[in-house]
Amino acid sequence: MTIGMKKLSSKTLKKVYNRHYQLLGCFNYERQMSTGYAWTMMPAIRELYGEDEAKMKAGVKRHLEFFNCATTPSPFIIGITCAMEEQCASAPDGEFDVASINSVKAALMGPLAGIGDSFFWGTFRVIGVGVGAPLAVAGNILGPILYFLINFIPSEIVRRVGFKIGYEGGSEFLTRISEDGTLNKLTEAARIMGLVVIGAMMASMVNVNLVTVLNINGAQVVLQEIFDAICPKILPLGLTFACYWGLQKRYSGTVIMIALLVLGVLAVALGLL
Amino acid sequence: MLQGFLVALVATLIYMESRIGGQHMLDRPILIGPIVGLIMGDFTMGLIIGGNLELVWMGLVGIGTSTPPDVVVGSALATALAIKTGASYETTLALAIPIALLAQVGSIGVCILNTTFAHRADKCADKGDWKGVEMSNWMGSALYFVFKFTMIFLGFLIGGDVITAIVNNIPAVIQSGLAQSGNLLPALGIAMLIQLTFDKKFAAFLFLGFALVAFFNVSTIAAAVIGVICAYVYYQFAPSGKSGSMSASDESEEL
Repeated sequence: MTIGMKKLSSKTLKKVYNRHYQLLGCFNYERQMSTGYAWTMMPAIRELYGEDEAKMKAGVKRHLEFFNCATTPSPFIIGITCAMEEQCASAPDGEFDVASINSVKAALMGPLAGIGDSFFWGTFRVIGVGVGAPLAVAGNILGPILYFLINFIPSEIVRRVGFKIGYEGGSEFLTRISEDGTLNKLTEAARIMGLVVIGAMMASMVNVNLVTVLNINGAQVVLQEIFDAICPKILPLGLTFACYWGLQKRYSGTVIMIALLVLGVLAVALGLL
Repeated sequence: MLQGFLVALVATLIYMESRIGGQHMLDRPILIGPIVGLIMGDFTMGLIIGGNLELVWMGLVGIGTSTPPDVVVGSALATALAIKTGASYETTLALAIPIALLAQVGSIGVCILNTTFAHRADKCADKGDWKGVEMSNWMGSALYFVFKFTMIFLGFLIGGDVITAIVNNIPAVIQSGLAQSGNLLPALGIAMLIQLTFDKKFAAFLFLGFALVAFFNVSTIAAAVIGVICAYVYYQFAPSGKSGSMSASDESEEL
């Protein structure tokens, strides 16, 4: 860029990165992660504007504006913000459109929150549970350990790499992978992984074994065997979709949970389970 | 008393990871269970209960601004009280539900109260008190900590006697019925996950996972590996070009 470009020291960038872990520290309904964002950006703002009280104040207030995103992709946006603040601090007064900093933040936080949630809440966490919970239920300590690693490692990689890419020209990177369809394909691939594991859990983690024995003309018929002949695990499948139907009808999870507890008691009382 | 203090402290610290540690999805029953079990003197039982509670509650996630029933408070108490009283976790779970719901209301309260600190940060910025802006973020965290700790500690102190009294008076059929319902509850957790991630275009993959286990009896780890392979193949062969919506958040409904 121009001569006299202000650059953040690598020490400050590191500080900013480390502070992003506290983004949710003061999460509230009104401005959500705003306080956390200001806390995160503070070392950069200090270094760039520390000598000019008015600019410093404007900088701090800029990052006290509304912000909300998933935590894992946030360092990418923070990296971009750092680069833009450098440009802002280097440009002569009035030549840099200061409002563009917050427009970029606002433009990125929604889509990245959606992608972050579907990867980290919807995919890695689901795989972590799919792998870890059966082990934990069997009393194997590897359960929680694998859950931890499956969640922690991808998340840390995305944060660190994301911050670096964001700082070194992130907007173009994002435009590129979103325009050539890579981002969309990645999101869909993640969804496929999650769905396979969820389907597997339907069959392995829900257990409905009817103990009822019917007496038809003197022949002993075990009810469960009839269902198994139709399709193994068809009852867990049906029960799961019954719960899904209930959720779609906007019954709360807690209501359905209580219904399942009651169902269990009734089934035992009637000699079904 | 000391146990209750430690359970509340440790569970709250795990929760705080989601506030000031970056939220790596660690404040979940599968991790809280074994650690609470360790404090209560039965690590393996905590591990088993944690795994089971995870299956029930894996669909309860606070995405965006939605605040679900409090999984941290619920799982810490259900685990600790099951080990303390010897009751089954299904029983303590049933009794932890009201506490988790109460804590949900409380969490909403904290998110409202924390607005005060966001306003305080504004005032500090006006005065040029940069340290004050930074401290505001930590004040919010402190409020989260105090609230969560108090809920678990009080729940532990009160819950123990209540559960012992109830368990001694519940008819056997209800107790074994509750124990059986433990096998049914994961259906809810899975249904919530389906709601979170379902996409008609990829419905076949849900049934692929189901069929792998139902017909071929593979483990979920094996199913996960096959899922990764499917995803990779899809990524390689799917046509390029932007299609569909980029955001998944519009499909996740409030839980």
